[in-house]
Amino acid sequence: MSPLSTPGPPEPALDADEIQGDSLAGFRKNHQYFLFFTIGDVPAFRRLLADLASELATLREVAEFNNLYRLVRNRRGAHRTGLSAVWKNIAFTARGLGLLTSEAAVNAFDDTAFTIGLAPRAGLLGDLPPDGGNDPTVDWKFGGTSRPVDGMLTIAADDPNALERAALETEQAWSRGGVVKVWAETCHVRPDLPGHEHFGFRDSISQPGIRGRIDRRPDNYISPRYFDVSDLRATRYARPGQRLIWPGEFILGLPRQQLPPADDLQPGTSHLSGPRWARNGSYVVIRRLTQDVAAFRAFNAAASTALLAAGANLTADRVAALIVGRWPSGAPLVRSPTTDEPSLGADDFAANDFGYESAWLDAAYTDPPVLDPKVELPPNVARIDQFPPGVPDDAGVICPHSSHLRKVNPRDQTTDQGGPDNTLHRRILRRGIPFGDPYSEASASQDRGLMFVSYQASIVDQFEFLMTSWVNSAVNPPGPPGGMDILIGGKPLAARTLVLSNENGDPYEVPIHQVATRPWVTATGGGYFFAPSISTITHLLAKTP
Amino acid sequence: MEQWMPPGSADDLDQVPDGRTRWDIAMTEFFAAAVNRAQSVLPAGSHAQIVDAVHPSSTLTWSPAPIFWNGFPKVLLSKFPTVHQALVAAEKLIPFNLDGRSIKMRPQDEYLEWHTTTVQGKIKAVDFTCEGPEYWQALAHGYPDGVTPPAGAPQAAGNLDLVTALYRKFVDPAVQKSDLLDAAGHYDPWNQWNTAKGAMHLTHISNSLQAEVFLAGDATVLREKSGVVLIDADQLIRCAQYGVPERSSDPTIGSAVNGLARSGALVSLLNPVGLYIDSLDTTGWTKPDGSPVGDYWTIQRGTPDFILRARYEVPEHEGFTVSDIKIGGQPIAYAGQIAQKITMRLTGISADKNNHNTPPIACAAAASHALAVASTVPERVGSTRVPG
Repeated sequence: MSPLSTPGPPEPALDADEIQGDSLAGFRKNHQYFLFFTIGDVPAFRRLLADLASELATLREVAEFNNLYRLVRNRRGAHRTGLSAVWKNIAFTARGLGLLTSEAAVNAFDDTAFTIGLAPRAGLLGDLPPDGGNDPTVDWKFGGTSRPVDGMLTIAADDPNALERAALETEQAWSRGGVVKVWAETCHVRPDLPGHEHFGFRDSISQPGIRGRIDRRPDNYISPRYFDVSDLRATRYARPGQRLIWPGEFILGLPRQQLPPADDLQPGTSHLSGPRWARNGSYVVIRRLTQDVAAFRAFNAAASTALLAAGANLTADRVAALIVGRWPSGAPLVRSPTTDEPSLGADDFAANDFGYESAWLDAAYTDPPVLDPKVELPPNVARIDQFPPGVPDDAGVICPHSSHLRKVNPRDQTTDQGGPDNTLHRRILRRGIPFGDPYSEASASQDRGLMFVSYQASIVDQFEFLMTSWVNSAVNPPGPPGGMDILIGGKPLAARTLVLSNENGDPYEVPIHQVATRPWVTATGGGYFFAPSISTITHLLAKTP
Repeated sequence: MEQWMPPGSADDLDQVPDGRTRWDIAMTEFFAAAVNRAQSVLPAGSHAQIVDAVHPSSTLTWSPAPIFWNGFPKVLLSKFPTVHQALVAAEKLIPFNLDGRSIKMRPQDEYLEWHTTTVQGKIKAVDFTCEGPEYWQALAHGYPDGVTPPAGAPQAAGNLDLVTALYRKFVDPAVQKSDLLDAAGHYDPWNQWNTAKGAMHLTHISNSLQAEVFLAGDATVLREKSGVVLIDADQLIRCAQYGVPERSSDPTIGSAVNGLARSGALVSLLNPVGLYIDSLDTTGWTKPDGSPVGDYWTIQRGTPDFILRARYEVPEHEGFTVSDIKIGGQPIAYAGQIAQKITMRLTGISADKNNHNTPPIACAAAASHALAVASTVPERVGSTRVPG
């Protein structure tokens, strides 16, 4: 594939050999291993780190591999690429960085969430303690107050056997180097439904586009461009539905997105919210979210019955889709309001090209996108989007304001933060992957869920903002009749209510505690980490002071 | 006959001769001015969608549309590179030149202001208020400053003793009546007990009830640019210039009201008109022993649905102070951390949807009629607010 030149602004060539690759490019592997550890012997760990530094996957490597993969896949098909890689990245908690640098250095990070750590802030996110306790993290497998971690090593691979070998070698070598394993988990894309999480919904369709290039080649963008230059969206979108955001929203020390009335086509200031060596690093949020599939399905069925009694005839599947904002295929409700449309869900472009106040994500654009005829498209993507355009749904009748989708990405909606461009400061890069086997009735009690992973330039202003100000808010982002995000939101069951609107805008409310016996998403581990640049690892963290 | 009620249905005006009637007159005047402002930018034959929902009485069925925003000044978060710097700045009074007079006001411009009481370096209590200055001017002198009562209306007569008593009750028993007056013997909203020594009501020059009514009125005018009707909050506020774009409140209120207007409805504000404290979210707040905090939030004025004033203070029997509370593991060092967890609310109302469509107006035409609002950025002192 040869991405086109666009009429957009000049975009900087990023330090692609400095930035760890999972953040901006994404590993995109079907198999991933996570090792959460503490550092028992600092000098020995520095030696391990010195060896590891050359093995860490850089932005350049991962992005170029992804480009190559796209090229080969488009000609041969996804199952015949013959390409395989093993990637490693590493990140540290404030506690871990403190061991390798100093308390003063860690305190130079201007992100309270990071310096304090996730465990004391779990309650803020709505995580609930077991009955009779105060600590929501007491039973966490890693990262809770009783099981703190210093760092996280991730290994990702196309080949599960290669991953297993790499993980085993690492664990053996690291245990000899004084590293104590707190928790390790190997995660896999669902073999039965690739790309879907355990509740059955296709995940990670909507990701921000990133401004910036991998190198000096003018068209070697981190986020490939697909629009024809005749389409005005070419300056602001990488592909339909994917708004371009300046990289400083995800990587420290790089140009940030400017808010109106400043020109968003121009780079904003490069704010470095940490010590100098934090440049080209990124905050990583890990949340091990255990999913109780049976509880979720039981709620949907019970809510369907309760809604019928209230005069709303909605199937359990429809209730689930209203909670999520998409159908299981990934088809967005606003483009397919009453039934799932698998071909729409499979089209990565069409499934992400919609707004809530306007059809095409931005009121300025009134026509379907025009793609460059010379650019090869991903599988299942139609060159001409012939699906019904999104139906403006300001009232939240088709897709409730309380749906997960609207809560975490209000798109073209005005929010309590101002116009939709303000939301661009809240976007995160999601790199999660399921853990555990797919659900079956026989395996209902097995532990399964999502290893949520996000990258951002501020945990407080991005991940935590989304959780505390929108997901767990009954009133924001605004829209009648309000309601929390009950898919992932915290709060006790007794405080949760499913809130929907009928065609007249009248609310249907289903108090969840009346029809649910237990929560369906529970945090069982996690941490706030920082993924430093390669040179910081080499020249600072791996070196004896 | 229905009247515009005092904010939060407060009953102080019962102790002022014809107090409630005079308040109704003042609010009626605010709405009449708001209607005129909107009408003045519309083409002949179009009727402004902002209306006085109380006068004349009608059989319209009004639907409420609550609008929410965060209580901590967004302008400070934007202005300073770190949250800590914004929290520090929020606590400091800023000088302002108001029509040639030098005043000091709080930089808290989201219709929520607070005063922190510290004892031996620890926060003992924080008083939050969202009452506009007009109400206190009416208590003091009968009408808000600038309101000209129509012929035959009750003459201005206030109750400065009542104002003094309320200050003594809510701010400090040491307050003297003379402390509250300017050199001309007029009630001074920027007196020491409402600035350096306490918070009885709002002080920021943008935090007024009249400004809110005007903003709502101006926002009912549909706007267009290059033939496209504007719906984006940022574009709308810059086009219509009905407030400060960098605030949380103004763009949010304006956009929500404009949305009601775009539905072709008549628009007004819920009686009693006010910008209220909606709620405080203490999720994840912990005592020194790690257990969740109790309910230390006391509503002092207004009602639970229309909070005008509230105090956050740990009861003495708990044995610790506000400073010992942690929010997500972070000790409360500044009252602004509490304000960040306060949601504010204004309620628009709409009626007779689809029957009152007005044509969108170009931005340039709107500018000359716009409410010019003084900058809220602390160092830009010297500009003067021009009331509508």
